Amino acid sequence: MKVSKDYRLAVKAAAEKLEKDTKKVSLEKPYGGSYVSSEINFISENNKAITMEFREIGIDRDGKFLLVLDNILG
Amino acid sequence: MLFKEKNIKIEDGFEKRREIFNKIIEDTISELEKNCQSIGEGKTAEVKIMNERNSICLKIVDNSKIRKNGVHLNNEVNEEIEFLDKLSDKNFLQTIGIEKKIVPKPMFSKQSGNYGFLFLEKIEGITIEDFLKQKSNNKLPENFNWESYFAKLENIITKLNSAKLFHRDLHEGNIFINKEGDPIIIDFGDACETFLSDEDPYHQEKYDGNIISYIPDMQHVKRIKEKILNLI
Repeated sequence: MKVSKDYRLAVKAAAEKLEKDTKKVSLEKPYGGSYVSSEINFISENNKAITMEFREIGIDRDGKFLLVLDNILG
Repeated sequence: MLFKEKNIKIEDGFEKRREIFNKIIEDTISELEKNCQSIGEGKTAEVKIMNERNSICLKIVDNSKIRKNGVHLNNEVNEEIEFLDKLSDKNFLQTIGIEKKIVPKPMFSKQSGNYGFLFLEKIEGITIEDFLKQKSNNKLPENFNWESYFAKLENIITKLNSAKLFHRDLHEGNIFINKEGDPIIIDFGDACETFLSDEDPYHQEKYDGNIISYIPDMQHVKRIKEKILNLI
């Protein structure tokens, strides 16, 4: 399986916007069926989520976030 | 989206993540197989969506049609996604002198048995083939101009070919007119990138020594342009 660079960049762009008061950010179009969340103690009801570290996608920040693939068809 | 707190430890190991990703993709593919509509079909692949609102579609490639004696004659989905990734990269496009988007954005690809699956952006617009079938301007964007459209398309092909990228299957069904009236090129199953100056992208020797010939990209564009300009 391959994940496109374009999708990974969209994840990074959304994760960069996660702040104390912004806990959920949808990915840019056409990937709007996925979103990132800083609430890693929560998981979407259908478990379509994985955790990622900010640093592994090139963001200079400690900690983790959740990538939720709620509806990959957007 | 409703969140529900669950007492679940989220596994975040690399393998576990791969497993979850695969599961999500497999579930979506099964869901699509049960409840989908076909929006395009070619020699080796079919493109499906769940419903009109989807922004992502699924291209399903029948590997038996692109392989012979275990060797693949066309690009498999994992190679096609690399072409799309390269041609979606704004920096790369700027480097070769292209300002606007020219291909659908790719998402995931997966090989599974006899089939290859490629999730990619659904293009809003019509193909030149759709236009020719309907012979109607109804679905074209407002103030659409064919001369200007073909000038843009020729410019894109010139720039791609200069960057040693060759589509090699530029028929009417593989070229979209998007909502802004710009060309969008799909299906990079036959595409190639050459590295040596004496490589001929349109005549390639295959595993059995046979030479496969392709119609040069610009020849396709000129033929389609002539056809359309004679029609309108």
